Order: sequence, then C-alpha cells, then structure tokens
Amino acid sequence: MALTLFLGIAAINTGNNLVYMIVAALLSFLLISGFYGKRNLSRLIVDVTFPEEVFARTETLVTVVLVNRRRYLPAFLMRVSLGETSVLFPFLEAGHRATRPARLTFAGRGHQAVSPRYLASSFPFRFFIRYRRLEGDVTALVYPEPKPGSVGREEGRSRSRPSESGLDLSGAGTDLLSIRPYLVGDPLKYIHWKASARTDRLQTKEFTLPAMPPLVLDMARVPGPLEGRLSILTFWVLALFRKGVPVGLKMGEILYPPVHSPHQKHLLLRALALCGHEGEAHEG
Amino acid sequence: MKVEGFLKILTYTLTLTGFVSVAAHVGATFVAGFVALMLPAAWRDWRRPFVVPRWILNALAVAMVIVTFLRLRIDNIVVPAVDILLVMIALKFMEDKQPRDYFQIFVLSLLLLAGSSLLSLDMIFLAYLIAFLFLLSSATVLLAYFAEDPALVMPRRTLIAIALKSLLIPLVALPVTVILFVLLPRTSHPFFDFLNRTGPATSGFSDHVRLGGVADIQEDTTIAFRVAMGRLDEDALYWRGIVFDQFDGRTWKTLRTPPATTFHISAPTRRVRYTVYLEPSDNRYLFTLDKPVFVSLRNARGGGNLVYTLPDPILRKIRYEGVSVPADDFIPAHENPRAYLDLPPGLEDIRALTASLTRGLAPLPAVRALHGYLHHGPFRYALSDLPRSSRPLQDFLFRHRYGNCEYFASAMTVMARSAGVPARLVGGYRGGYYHDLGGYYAVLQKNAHVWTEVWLEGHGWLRVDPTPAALLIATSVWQGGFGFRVRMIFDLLEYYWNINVIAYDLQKQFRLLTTLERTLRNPDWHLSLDPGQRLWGGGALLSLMALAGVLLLRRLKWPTPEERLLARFHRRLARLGHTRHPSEGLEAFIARLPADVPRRQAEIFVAEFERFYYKDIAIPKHERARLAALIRSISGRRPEG
Repeated sequence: MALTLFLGIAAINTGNNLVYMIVAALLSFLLISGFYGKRNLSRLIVDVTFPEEVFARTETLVTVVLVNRRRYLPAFLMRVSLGETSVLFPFLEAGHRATRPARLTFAGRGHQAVSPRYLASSFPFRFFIRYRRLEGDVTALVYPEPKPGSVGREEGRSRSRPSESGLDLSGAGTDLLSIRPYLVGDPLKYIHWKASARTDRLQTKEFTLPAMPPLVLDMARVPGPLEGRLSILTFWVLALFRKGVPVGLKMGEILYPPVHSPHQKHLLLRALALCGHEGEAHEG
Repeated sequence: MKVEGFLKILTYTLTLTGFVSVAAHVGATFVAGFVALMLPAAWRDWRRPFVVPRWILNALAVAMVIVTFLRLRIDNIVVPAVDILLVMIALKFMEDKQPRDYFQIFVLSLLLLAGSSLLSLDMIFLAYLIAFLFLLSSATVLLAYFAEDPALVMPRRTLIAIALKSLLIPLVALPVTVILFVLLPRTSHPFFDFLNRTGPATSGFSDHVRLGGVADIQEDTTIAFRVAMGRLDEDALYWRGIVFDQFDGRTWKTLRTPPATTFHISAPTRRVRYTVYLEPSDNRYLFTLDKPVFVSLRNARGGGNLVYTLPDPILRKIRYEGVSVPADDFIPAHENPRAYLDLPPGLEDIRALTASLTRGLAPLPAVRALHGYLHHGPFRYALSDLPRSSRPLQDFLFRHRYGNCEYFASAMTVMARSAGVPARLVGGYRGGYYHDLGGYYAVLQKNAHVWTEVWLEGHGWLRVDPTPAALLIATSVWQGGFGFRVRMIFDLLEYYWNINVIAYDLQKQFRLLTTLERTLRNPDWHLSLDPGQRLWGGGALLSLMALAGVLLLRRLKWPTPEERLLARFHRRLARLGHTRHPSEGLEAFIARLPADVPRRQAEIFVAEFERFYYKDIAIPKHERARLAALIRSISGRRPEG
C-alpha cells in the first residue's frame, strides 16, 4: 500500500500517464483483493467430529471437515482455527469437501465448546488476513482425565489395584457372549479376525464373565478434592470395563447398578463428566 | 511439488519482465552486470546452493550506491536509479529468500517497470504492464501460501490450478484499472516534469541545409509527427518548420528572426484547425500547416516569418493545436525584403545563367521562368549518388543535373536573388499519409522537404516549389506497399495510444467528464465524442456492463444440478398426479404415495439423493445420470378423476 502511495505521488508529480496506469492497476488490485478475500470466506461450512471418548487434558485427534458450498470459487489457503490449534486447507475446489486431522486438548470436563472457532485466510495477496467467526457451537462431552488412585478398601477388596495380568483371566474358560464392533482400547487378543474379515470392520469378541463379581464404586469413599476423585473414578471405570468386571457407581443418592457393557461404561463416564454441572448429571 | 519451486519460477519471470522493459534504455554495463549476477543466482536457486558471504553482497551494494551518486545529474536521475535497481534486484536474488525477500523483489521489479515508463512512452509498455500484472498476481498468491507454510508441498496440478484461478483477479482488475486511470486526479503542472525524458532524436529534418555533404539519403520512414484534422487538398500539404535566409555557397543558415507581426493573405481560404502530435526530434521547431495563424502551446513563440519554436529542444512527445489558412502567399505588416538578396561571391556562372533566363522580365514572370527551367527543364530528382563537391550548386546546375529537393530549392532561391527578387529557403515537410480510420495525417521523416519563398510586391512572400513532380507524394496510407500498410495499421494503434494515454491530462479528463455528464442529461442520448473519447467511453461502458452482469448473475441464483434433479423428480410425480407440499419432507411425501405408483424406484431415488444432498456434497456426474434414469423409471397410471 505504501508502494501504491509512493507511485501515486510520483504519478501526480511527473504527470506521466504510464505511472498513472501502474497506480490504477495497483489500486484496482487492492480493491479486487478485498473483494476476493471476502468471497473466499463465504459459504464455507466447517464441521468437527470427535472420537467416541474424549478425556480432559489429553490430546485428542479430531477430524475437521471443510465443505465449499460455492459454485465457482475454490477455497484458497484456508486456515481453520479451533481454540488453540488450527488446520490449513491449502486448496478446495468449489462444491468439494476435504477432511484434515487436528489435535485438540480440553482443559476441563463436561460439555466443552471448541472456541473460538474461525476461518482465516491471507488470500489473495497477504495484504491483510481476513477472519470469519463461525456461527453455532461445536461441543464435545469431555470425560474427566483418568488418573490412578485408591478407591477405598471395602469396595476394592483384594482387587482394588487390578494389574494388567488380570486381563488374562477373562476369556479363559468362559463362553463367547457376542461379537461387537471394535472400540478403541479393546485388547488385540479379543479381536475376532474371522468376523472382521467377513464384515470388513474390526470385530471384538465379548465373553460372559461369570467369574467376575460385580463391583460398585462409591464416590464418597474416594478421598481428595472433587476433580481428583472424578479422575480416579474414571480411571477405575475404564480399567474395570477393560477387565470385564460389571461395574456400578454410587454418587450421593444416585446409584448405577453394576453391569458390564459399553453402554454402561459411557453412562458412567458421562455421569462423571457432568458431575456437579447442575441438571445434566441426572440424564442418561 | 514444493510451493517455493513454483514461486521461484514466477519470481524470475516477473523480474525478467521488469528487466526487459528497461533493458533498452540503461547502460550496456549494467545490463551485462545484471545478467552476470542473475545467472549464478539461478544456478544457486536450482542446482547447487552455495553461500555468498554477506560482506561481498554488502560491499557490492555500497559500491553501486557510490558509483550512482557520482553519476547523478539533475537532468539524468532516472537512468542511474534504474541501474541501481537492477543491481539491487540481482543481489537480492543471491540471498536465501524469506517471504519478505520475495516481496521486496516484487516491489523492486515493479519499480523497474515504473522506471521504464519514465524512459520511454512506447506502446510496448502496455504489453509489459499486462504481463507483469498477471505474473504478479499469481506470484503474490503463491507467496501467501509460501508465507503460511514455507515447506508446503502440493501436487503440481493443484499448484497450477491455484496459479490459474488467481489469474481471475487481474482479469477483473483490468477494467477497474481502466476506470481508475480515467478518474485518478491529474494536475496541470507536474513538479518533476524533468524526470520525463524520452528517446533518441530522429533525423530527417534538420535546422540547417548543407549541400554536397552526403552521397545518399536514406528514406527514413519513421514518423515525424501526426496531425489530427480533416483531409486536405494535396497541394496545400506544406508543413512549415524553418526559414533559412543566409547562404554561404554550400550551407543555408538562419540569421534573422523577425519579430512577430500581423500579416495579410491575399486569397484567403477557409481556416483549418488541427492538432499536432510531434515525436521527439532534438530541435526546437514546431511544424504547422503552411501559413499558420495561431499555435496553442505553452512557451511557444512565433516570429514574423511564421516560424514557431520552443525555447528548448523537444526531447519528448508533445501535442499542440494550431490554426492555419492554407495559401500560397502572405504579406507581413512589416518586412524588409532587401535583406533577402545577399549572395556569396563566386557564383558568376549562376548569375549568367539567371540573366539569360530572365532578361527583360518583370519579377513575377522572371520567377515563373526560373521555376519552369528547374521544374520542367533538364533536371532529375534523385536521392542517391549525389555529387560530393565543394561547389555543389554549380555542379548541380551545369554538370550532373540531378539532386534532391535541397538542390532544386537552393538553386531556385539563389537564382531568384541573382535576378533581384528577394528569396529565402523554407524547410519542413511535404505531404503525408492520410489515415481515414484515425482521421489524421502521418507525416514521415522521408516527407522532409525544402522549398522557396520569393518576395513580390503586391503578393508578399509567394511559395515556389521547383522540385519536379518526380517526388511522388502518396497521400493515403493505403497507397503504399503491403509492409507499409501493415505498419500504418500499427501506426493507428500508436496514434490512439498517444492521444488517449500519453496525452491524457487534466483538460481531457475534465472534457470527458463534462461530456459524460451532458450526455447523461441529454434525453436524446446524442453522443458527440471524438474517436479517442469513443474508445475510452466504450471501454468504460463495457466494463460497467460486465460488472452489472456479474452482479445480476449473482442475484439470479442459478439452480444447482441437485436442485434441477429434485425439480425433475417433482415434475415426474406431478404428472402422475402427486404433488409435494412445500413443507413436506421428501420421505413423508414418498410414504403417502398410493400403491399404484412404483414406490420402490421413488424410495431408491430419495435415499440416494439424500445421501448426497444432506451432506452438502456435489453429486458426481455419473451419479446424476443414474438418478435421472431412476426418475424416468418411475411410471404409473394417472389416477382417474
């Protein structure tokens, strides 16, 4: 812009029409680039998909989807900012969509909004960076950060600190209960390879676990501040689920009876995530 | 492919464009120096990186600045400035380049182009400018990518797509540039006018006439000046430049410049108004249609001999308006004809010849006799093999009997003086090529001509042109050979370039805007623009229409292929008597279709359609064809009643 000004002064002072021509071209570039920069941010849709389980203070790989709903103009040099991180989409043709991974870390648990979310682009000439704040909310249900710790003598009993070797117990001499789609965290040895090959998706074997006595975690028995307690309980819900122990949870008045199922796991994690976030803890 | 690789190619091309635009005007040393520095820079950028010590680059830059300051003169600022720009760009190319460095190179190259406009006003500038803008646009867009992520790698196809799609920007910017060019504020008196210095002086016309000096005269077909005016009678096309009064036997010179005075024309014809676009010529003379009454140009001075001059040599294109009365003679209010009788010694044989031709004749018949002798006599017009001699006039008259107009006019003038008739030599141009399309005369250097003016009591100064008609004067541009005609078509472009771009000023801007305003107010829409204004007006109108078209297209939203597909589906079912309510969901609509409609096909269509539509994916072409086929397969009986 300083250059345009300089040449503008030169043009007036020399009265040279060719310099005028250069100035006119630069000015029109400025105008057009403003127009293009604005158009470049319009009619774009950003979507974020989260993995099934998101934990606080743990880096999560999310998928950012950019959809260009324009008819002609491709999206150039588009940076999608999600809170602390951003993803660059260098070029997206009109009418197309593209996905990119991004790493996100949530500081707290509960319903967490990803903010601020905006589109930014220095297209076309880097004279200025244009921003557009994205409307709507993208929220994720963030579970507490899992942290090992004691859950009290009575409940834990002899297996209050289950070791990884406990995994070997499950499956041995038990009956195959069902085959379900693979979830992150399932041990590799439980993958039903035949079924996976048939369906083209990873399948996990689920076993009946008659040997495992059900267990109820009581929040009141866990020492420490609230967040710490929630973290410890989260750790145990995950660990016990992985072991195949039917697990229940007691939070004050509310009791979730012990069951072993993925649904139960998510129910409990949800309850822990929303604990103290008024009104929301009771759903599910 | 790395973004930087492509960016480098564009940057080199961009700088090359700037370089070519000035290469012809800067010193050979600097051109050679620039090339010598750019080659290793390119080698370094693509082949094998090597590090040039910082101090070498800095020392070179400092040395350049010193050299430039030593060369700097107030009348020669631009060339040293461009020289130093060249060296700075080349040094910049030698460095490791950050985004900032690329940007600096762009700016320096643009300054080169701006510098070229101060060195030459040639039309080729337009080509350089357009090429530069397109390159600049693509390069700057890629630079934005590079700045975002210097290690960015993209498929070559994507990179090319980015570069091509960003060409849309200059394409839209060009009409805007035209409008801005017309509207940008102009001043009537620029401060640094002296920076505008143009090209080399051309030959053809000169401010002295020397006989017997050269053997051959090259036919120089470069343009001397162009005159916008109506077509005139060929006999009237004498362009007056200079009057010579003093002859020393070989050379004609101007000694007297009589003060301006009023004059009288015995047989007045109509007044002719015209505008002259004069090419740079390195002399001070302004050419006018013979018998000029008025010349409108700042600092122009007119004398009693109807010669108009500027105080300084004309080193660049200028424009002036003139009014003339084409006539053969004029009588100044004050004149001393006795002063035009001097002859050098040693012309006795010419005096004798004159006496034999004019014995006992009155001045007018004597002049006629001399003119008849030279014009219809034994003399031949020639441009080549001219006698080189120390007594050129005698050799012409008595020995060789051929020569160019200078010999004929000199002989006529000298013989008139020996007969006691005051006479002088007038230099200028004769004829010109009329360009019907442009409405102007192109006067070439080869049209340079000299003729004689004799003083007759009662007539005043009378023009006598003794050169034989062998000097064939084509008066239309279409009369020349093929090459000449092609050249004249380009000359038309250059003419428009000169009058509409180079000579566009505050006055023209004002006139254009008032004409526009008047035209818009006038209910009859009567356009009375000159060709140049029509060109500009047409350009502006076209760009406005294009702009309006784009806006309109954006307003009238074109249905997308998906929308068209859905509309087809609706039409198909409507033919079967089922219309979807505006607020009804597609699936709900399908669900309530009666059994006689092939529900299955409709369901498949809806399922497939929604698969794309609600995910905001453009339906691929082959899928669209399949969906269209599905719609066609929905057939059934139209319900009765």
